[in-house]
Amino acid sequence: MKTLMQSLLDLLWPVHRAITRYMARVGALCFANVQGVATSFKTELLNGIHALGTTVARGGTGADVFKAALFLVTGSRGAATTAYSATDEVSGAGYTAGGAAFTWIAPSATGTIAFSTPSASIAWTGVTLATAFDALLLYNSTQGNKAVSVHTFGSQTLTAGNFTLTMPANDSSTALLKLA
Amino acid sequence: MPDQTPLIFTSKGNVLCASLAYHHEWTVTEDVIKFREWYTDDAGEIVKDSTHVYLPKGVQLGAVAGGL
Repeated sequence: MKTLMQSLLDLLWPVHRAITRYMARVGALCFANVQGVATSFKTELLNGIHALGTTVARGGTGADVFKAALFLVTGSRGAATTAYSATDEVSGAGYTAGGAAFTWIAPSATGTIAFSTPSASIAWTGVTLATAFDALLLYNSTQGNKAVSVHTFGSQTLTAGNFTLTMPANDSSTALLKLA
Repeated sequence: MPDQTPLIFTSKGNVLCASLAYHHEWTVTEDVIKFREWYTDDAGEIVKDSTHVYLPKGVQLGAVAGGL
């Protein structure tokens, strides 16, 4: 017959095992081998360090130039978008085709999540966009205008006004671009 | 003494602030917080319309190491 102590240990063992596995997974323990993608690799991907396939010749070690462009509600930008195209892009006074350039905060990681966010708000001033738009495409202007991400914010128009996109906090839970 | 009457830039050029009506609205969803403010003239026409969007969270990619 089990003693009270043995029963208690039997009860607590699954909890101990779960906590230990979790700590090992997040790197808090070093005595277990755990399958996973290296967090450093995720940050390095965002920095363009690794090339698992054919890559491009770079002119230097600086960051690429990224741009943000606005698109009409009649557009079809999304996960399948591979590159910037002017089709369905907004047009009007105060807006230049191709959008506005921006820079990223240097990629970093917290826990197992690598992340980055544009370093400042993306804004247009004194602009008139009479046709409804609802989407923002971020793309790499240096690398053939390849697409990065699409963000939607609801339909709207502008009349001699300002449009500001304020970025989320740059951390592992809210950053604009996260690699988990 | 210069004229101190405030003007505002609109689709009809610089006009007196006092001649326009101000409107604003907030839209709050899980994915976006949006503040829109606009001005109308005596005829009810929108002559200035601005929007400010806050993206409270971004997008996430998953990286998974496959088993052998």
